[in-house]
Amino acid sequence: MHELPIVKKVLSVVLEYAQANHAAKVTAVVLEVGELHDLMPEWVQKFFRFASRGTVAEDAEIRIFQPPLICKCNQCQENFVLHLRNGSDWSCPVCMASDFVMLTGKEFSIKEIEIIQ
Amino acid sequence: MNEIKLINIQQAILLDNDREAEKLRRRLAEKKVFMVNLMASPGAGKTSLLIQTIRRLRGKLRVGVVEGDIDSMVDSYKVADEQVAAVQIKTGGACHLDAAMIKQGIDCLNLDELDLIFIENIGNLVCPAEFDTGADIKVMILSVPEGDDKPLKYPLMFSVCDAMVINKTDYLPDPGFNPETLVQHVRRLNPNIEIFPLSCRQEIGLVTWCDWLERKVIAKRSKGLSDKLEE
Repeated sequence: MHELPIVKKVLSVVLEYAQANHAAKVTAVVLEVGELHDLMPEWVQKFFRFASRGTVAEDAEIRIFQPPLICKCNQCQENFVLHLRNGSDWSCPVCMASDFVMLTGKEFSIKEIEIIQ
Repeated sequence: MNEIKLINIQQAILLDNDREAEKLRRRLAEKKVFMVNLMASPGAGKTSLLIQTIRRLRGKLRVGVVEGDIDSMVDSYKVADEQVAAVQIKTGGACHLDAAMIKQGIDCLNLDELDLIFIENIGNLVCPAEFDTGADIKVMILSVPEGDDKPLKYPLMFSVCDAMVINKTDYLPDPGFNPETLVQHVRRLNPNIEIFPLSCRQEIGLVTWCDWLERKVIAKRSKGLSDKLEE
């Protein structure tokens, strides 16, 4: 359910940019949502279709890029992908250190929209 | 005609909420009031922790509470029994509190008469993690019966909090809850998180938590004072 309030925020930004650019139609909305966020793409699309009815964005396709959680090991400086949900072992695959920083995976933004004027 | 045009946006999805939260933070900084966003699953012990904390801070800090609830008043009655300023926000179905709702709640409180405000967020570990409320710190509660695997399911919540309270330690030992496994996972997501194991029911571990909180509130108050002196 928590996709709905997020979708409403997205829609208001999309409509604002659509109007400013004299869009007759918004054909696509591109989001970047890192792996750390719990957003189900199919629900985002369903809620968007519902929320945008009667607006220029009503048939827009929602494309979500989901950057994986890429971490940098503080010990051996290696970059690696952390697979959050398998859980068993959250450590650097090269040196097994548990001391790392997240480089990507926290993104939560609207990248661009495609419009027809 | 009918040519598809790309419009670059590059904007945080929750930008308007973030701005509203920043405004609230400035307003609270002026009044030197510290605000805590308390988050947890239903039944983890948000209201119990609040009540135990309020009792221990009585006479030291003036506490107010903004209660979020989807549609009931149960928690705010319990908190009001503790004779603190309490405001109830009914979200009417929304599963989190955002900065605009918190502003409405804070408008009902007299900030000149408070040192510390608790937000009791809606019970879930997903949505509240996304929304900045304007609080100084985010605190989550995980209770022993929920299991030690929750950071795997709700990584965002564990990564955004400044402190984690492990409540219901009186249930330990529990085969589904290895405190070491939990702490190991949480620290990898969030190396600087403060962790407070305690039991509200048995009133164990509460002093350490309350002392830490009190130090945070006092630090903000004295910072406010030193900023004033510098002006």
